[in-house]
Amino acid sequence: MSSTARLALLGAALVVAVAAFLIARPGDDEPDAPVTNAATTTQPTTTPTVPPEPPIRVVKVSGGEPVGGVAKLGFKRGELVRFVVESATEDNIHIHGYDIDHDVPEGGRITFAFRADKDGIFEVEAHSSGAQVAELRIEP
Amino acid sequence: MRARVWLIGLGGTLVASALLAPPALAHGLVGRTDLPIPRWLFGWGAAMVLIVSFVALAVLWQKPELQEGHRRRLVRVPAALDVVCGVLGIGMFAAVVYSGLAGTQTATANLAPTVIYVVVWVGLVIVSLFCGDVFALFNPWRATARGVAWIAGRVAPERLPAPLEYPARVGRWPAAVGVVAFVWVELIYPNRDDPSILALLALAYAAVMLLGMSFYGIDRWTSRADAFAVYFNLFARLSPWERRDGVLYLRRPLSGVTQLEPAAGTVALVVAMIGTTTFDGFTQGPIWRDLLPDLERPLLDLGMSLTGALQVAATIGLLVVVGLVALLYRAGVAGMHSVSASHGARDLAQSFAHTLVPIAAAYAIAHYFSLLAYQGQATAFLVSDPLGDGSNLFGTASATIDYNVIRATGVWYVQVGALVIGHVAALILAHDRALVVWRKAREATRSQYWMLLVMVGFTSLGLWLLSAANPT
Repeated sequence: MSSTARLALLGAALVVAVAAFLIARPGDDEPDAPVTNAATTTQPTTTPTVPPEPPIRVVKVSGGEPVGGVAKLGFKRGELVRFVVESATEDNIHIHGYDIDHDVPEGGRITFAFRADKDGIFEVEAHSSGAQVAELRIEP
Repeated sequence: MRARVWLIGLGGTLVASALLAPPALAHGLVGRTDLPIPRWLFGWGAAMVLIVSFVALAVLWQKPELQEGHRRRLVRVPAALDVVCGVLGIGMFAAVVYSGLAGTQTATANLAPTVIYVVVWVGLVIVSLFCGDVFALFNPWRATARGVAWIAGRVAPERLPAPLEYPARVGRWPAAVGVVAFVWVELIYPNRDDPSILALLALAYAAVMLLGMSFYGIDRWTSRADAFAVYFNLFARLSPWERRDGVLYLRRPLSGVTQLEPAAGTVALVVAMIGTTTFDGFTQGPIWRDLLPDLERPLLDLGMSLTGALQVAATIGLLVVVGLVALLYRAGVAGMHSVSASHGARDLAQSFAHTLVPIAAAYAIAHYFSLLAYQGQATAFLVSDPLGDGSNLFGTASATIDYNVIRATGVWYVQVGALVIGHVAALILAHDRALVVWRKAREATRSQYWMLLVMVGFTSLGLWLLSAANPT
């Protein structure tokens, strides 16, 4: 194979690689559109102007340990993260990475509400035991 | 004898402290874990691996190009640089050990764990790839030994005994064992983040290295048995910088690793490098999560504690994964051997061991880049407050980790990019070596179908590990 042919082959491979990447990569506004369509067709009874509010998840903790396993909380970057921690015992709940922590009184509950401005998987920890009680997953 | 006592003491400490921490396989250091790479990027990465491999078969050269350095002389390196960097290295080592022993025992607030696991173990891999063998300059135990040797030479030049002959059969085995041991401490040992235990382990390691150097000579021991020196040196050999006889040269990238002296245990070393990282990725995936209870159950039935059972199960897992990586490489070697029986399988395994170094580098970057990018920032406040007692030595104690320095998508591109580039580098090295081993280009090409399969296997495994990590 001549060196020109080699260079041409390399160039072609590079073009294919970049094109495939651009085609495969999902755009920023693409994934949302079909989802809303599906939602309106499957639920024709709800009023179209008010999007259904997702229920607020409640993470239950007792003695610094999660009740019923580590809760998985999923949000998209830019969304408002909202969840409630309910603890049977007095505790302090800390979200790694975001470095937000709140005290919970015995038998009380506390609502976390903040903007998801960092993506990745972050641990929600009960400081009384150091155990993980929930996993906060922020998709880009 | 002293070395044996040290090792026994070390083993005793490890066993004794094994029963104290909650059972889990994760760093206490990590505040953020990576999201798995999305399916489209996995598909793109896999497609790239195949395209790259077939294009490589067509365009790669017919004559070996990397077996010599093709060095270009740059500058003379002043001898004082070794002294200055050596002293700095000893100082940094002392600071880390002192922080670990005297500072707070909260892992994230103490300088020692972050420096050892993040700055050194991950950071120096990347530094070595781009800047050459920086660790050799700062290596604290080597610098200490050289200092002692210099003084001894001044005081009593005639009474210094000649070093013992380093056993050829031992070769790089100590380094291979050292890499596995370090990763065992990092991933499996329950007190892995305990600053004072880390400091003691670092001291013990330095002591063993000093003994080894005193018996077998500084350079020989460092180039064969010092796990850290050998590990970083392998990555530095991919870089274009070479230091030889006090002169800095610029060489063809990748050509340095072809000059790797063959020695026993070299295959084991590169296999250990890939296998240990594979295990780390594997333990974050669903298969391990499902498998672990089955591994632990018989151990718990034997009366082991939960922590003990997790440790034994994970140790078995680590060794099995390293063994499987070895098997995959051996299968490729057996394939090459079948092309022409003129070369023994053992010789071939040695001749191609260096081609796995780029794969090991790619695995290390793919798995630990985000640890360096995020947790590495903690160094800024930890150096100002190394003991976690509220001091502010350099005025940076109030710095925080910016989790937006690179986004999740950026981490994905780095991970997949590293694997694809590592794959290309490995293919190039294997092809170049095949042209030397088999003089006929035709046989060389045929032999390389096998290595191609091995490389595609490793790279696909790497991509799969990234896509299966931390599932929802």
